[in-house]
Order: sequence, then structure tokens, then C-alpha cells
Amino acid sequence: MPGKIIVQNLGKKFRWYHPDRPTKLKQVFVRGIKKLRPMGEFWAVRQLSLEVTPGHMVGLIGHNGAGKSTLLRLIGGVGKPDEGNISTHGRIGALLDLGAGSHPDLTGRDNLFLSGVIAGLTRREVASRFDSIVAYAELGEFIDNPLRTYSSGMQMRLAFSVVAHTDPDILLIDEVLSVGDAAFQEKCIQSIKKYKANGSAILLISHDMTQIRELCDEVYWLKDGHTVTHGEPEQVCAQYLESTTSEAKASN
Amino acid sequence: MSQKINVTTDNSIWFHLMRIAELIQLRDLLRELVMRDMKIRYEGTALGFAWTLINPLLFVGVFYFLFNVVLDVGTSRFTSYTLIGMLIYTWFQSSLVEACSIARSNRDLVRRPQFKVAVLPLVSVTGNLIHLLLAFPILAVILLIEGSRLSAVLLTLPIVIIVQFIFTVGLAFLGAAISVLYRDIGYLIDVILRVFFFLTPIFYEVSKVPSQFQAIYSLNPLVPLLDAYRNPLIHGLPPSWNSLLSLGLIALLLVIVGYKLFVKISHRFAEEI
Repeated sequence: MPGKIIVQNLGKKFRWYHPDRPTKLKQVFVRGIKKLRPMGEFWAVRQLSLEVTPGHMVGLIGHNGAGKSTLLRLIGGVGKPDEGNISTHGRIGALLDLGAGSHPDLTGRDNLFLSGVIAGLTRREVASRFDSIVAYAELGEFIDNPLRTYSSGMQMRLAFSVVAHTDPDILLIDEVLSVGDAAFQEKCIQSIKKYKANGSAILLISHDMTQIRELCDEVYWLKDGHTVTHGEPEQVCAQYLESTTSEAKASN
Repeated sequence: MSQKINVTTDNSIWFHLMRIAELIQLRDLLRELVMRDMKIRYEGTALGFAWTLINPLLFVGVFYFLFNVVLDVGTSRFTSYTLIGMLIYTWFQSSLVEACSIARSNRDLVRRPQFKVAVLPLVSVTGNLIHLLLAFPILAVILLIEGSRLSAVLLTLPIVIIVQFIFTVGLAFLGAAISVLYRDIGYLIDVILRVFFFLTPIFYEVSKVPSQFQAIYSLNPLVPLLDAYRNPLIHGLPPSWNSLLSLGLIALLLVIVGYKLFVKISHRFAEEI
């Protein structure tokens, strides 16, 4: 099914508090009521518009704290925008935090069911896809070992495999592909291309410019919550790299 | 935020099928999360579930010594009476205390796109309900020893449990939502529940409360609730339908108010925790 994301004039504001902000009543008396109030606010995302049409993949680049992950979460329905609009069509698959909801003491099998159901499948659907998920993640008999015995690459393989089996119409990926080894990365990229061909709308955050150039149809360069420029991957990546090197030189 | 979903008309058959599918999905999500908590809790312990039973049994033992031997409070069938009180109150108390920290202890889930946060208070109430149900065989043995008999009136118990479930879920929504914004509420609720342990007829009978306090004492919704359990279990009588009905109505109101407030505040969860 084709997926679609439309973001219009999005704005998200965070309040920041005094570092000694009391979180307990007792501390209010000790530290004073003034520190309860926000000291200020900043816009994590502001005046941001973008559109991902079915079968397209958009890359997000920019320094840490530019608002990329906040944008992905807002699109996924976490938090409420203070300005603007988001509209999404289709089932969302998200790879933001690996292992959300998973527990190190539970086996891979338990965690697989858990994350499948958290991702929006029914138990029955997870059960029928179980073998295929394990095979894709190349976990074999490790699936019955506790998650704490897994390497981070194995955890990522399991997480990606579960999301890949939820038939997402919209895929939100935050910088997780780099965790896997080269062979598995290639496999992920093939899957992503397949989803793209089937009409999914995909948003990818990455610091790997080769990956961005290879996969994306359009790239947005974000800085301090707004778009610096967007367009052809080649051009935008080149501009971004140029500005980073000149910044690095300037700070030296 | 306008999250548009692929539904053309709201009264088509497709829409209703979608809703049923969503409910099945929600049930499965609840089940997985409850099972996760159970597995984590008993992982690697030798006694496993027995730990959950030891607490109420130990207290009933101590209370038996204190209030039947040292000070005689004159409760008839003391062990049955107190164990019912302990188990029912534990379900109520643990559910609420857990609900107040459940958003914080599931931080990564709350921050995960598409996760239905509203399932979390249900997880705490359901998980503790399962502990109650697992303790029922022991309760049954004690009831039989103290002379209770099996009768058709026990079939009313599921209704009482459902009423308590809805009532607790309503409060759990409120507690879970507010304690994210004000952590004090969690501590406050904990203290209030410890105090109410003694203001609820757990090991003494309501008739022991002096008549001038009776009116205010009976405002505690747990008073009619405990009666609704003890009537069928101990006395072989049906619960008082009037008080159960009014409790059920209060419970429904609490769930509606609690759920609305929870949904409203839950947009802020991700940045507050």
C-alpha cells in the first residue's frame, strides 16, 4: 500500500528548566519556587515543511541536535506539534531506538513477540511470520538465548527484521543501519529498496553520505530545527560537507 | 495533530472490521506486556510466584496473632475475612502504586512511534489481577476449612471483579498521567494507600466502627466493594446489587474522566520523562 508523509510548517518547542529544578515537593522549599518555572524555551523544529510521496525516500542530514530525531518522532505520533501540521497515510514502521520495550533477561523469542506486537501486529501474525523473521535476522538457535548475550549487531538484526516484517507503508529510520556488519547492511538496503519499489514512503537519518547518495531521492539539510537547503542528494551532501569542513577549520 | 487514516467512510463494514482488528491487537499488546512483567519479576528466583503469596499470608498470620490472640477484635472467621481483605486491597494498592511510575519505567516505549501509551495503566491493573487470581486456590482452601460451602452465588464474583477492575483502571489513568507531571503525586498516593489500609475493613468488621463515624467511614468505596466479595465467599449471600451498581457507575465515570485526562497529558510524556 502506498504511504505518504506531508509536513507543513511544523514547529515543536521544548522548555528548558533550571538544572536544579526541584522534582520533589521537599526540594521546592529548599531550592525555591522560582526554579520550578521554565527558564526559557527553544524550538527543536521550526517552520519545517517536507513531503515524502509514495515510493520515495528522503534523507535527513545535519549536526547532532539539529532536530532530525525530533522530526521523526513527531511524524510517528510521539508528542504534539506546537505549530503546523503532520499528516501520514499508512502503517508506520519505525527504527529509532533499538530494542525499545525489550528486556535483556528475556529470550530473543520473547523479545521478538513483544516487539512484533508493539510494532502493531497481532500475536497470531507474529507467530505466522516467526520463522521468516528469525531467518532474515540470521539468528538461528540464538533466538532462545537471553537478549543480554546478543551483540549489538545481533540486536539490530532482530529489530530490523521485525520491522521489515510488519509491512510498513511508512518507514522511519534513525541512524541504525550503521550498527550491522557490511553484509547485513547490504541486506537491509535491499529490503529498503524493495519497500520503496512497492510504494512505501521512507525517511532516513544518516551521517553516512554514501548511503544517503545511494538511496535517497531528495535530501534535507537541517540546522537548529529548520531547513538550510533541500534538493538533489549530490548537491546537498556536497554543500553540507563543504560547510562542515570550513567550520572545522575555523574552530582550529 | 491530524493523523489521517486510510478510512473512506466511518460507517462502512471495513471501518468496523478495522476496529475489531484494533481491539484484538490491543488485547495482544496488553497480554505481551503483562507476560513480560511476570517473566521479569520471577526470572531466576527459586520460589517464583510463591513470593507474591508470602506477603499476604505472612500478614494474615501476624494479624491473626495480634487481633485474635493479643487483642481480640472479635471478627468471625478471622482468617477468611482478613485474607479476602488483604488480597483485594493488595490488588488495588499495587495496581495504583505501579501505575504512578509506569510511564517512567517504560520510557523507551513511551518515546516509540505508534506505541499506544494508554495500554500502560491497563498493564499494571491486569498484572496485579493475575496475582490475585493465582492466590485464589489458597483462599479457597482456607474458606473451605473455615466452613464456607460452594454455591451458585459464587458466580457473582466475576461481576465484582469487573467492577473493581474498571474502578481501579479509572484511578490508574489519573495517577499515571498526573504523576508524570508531578512526581509528588506518586508518593502522595503511596502514603494515602498505606493510611487507607487501616481505614478499610480489612481485619475488623465495619460494625466495630462507632456509630458517629459510620456515615463518613462508609464513604470509602472499598467498604461496599469488600462486602461484595465477602457476602458470596463467606456468607453464601449475593452482593448488595444497589451498592455494586452505584460503585460501577462511579467506576465508569472515573474511567471516562481518567482516560480523557491521560490522553491529553500523554502528548507531553515524551518530553517530561
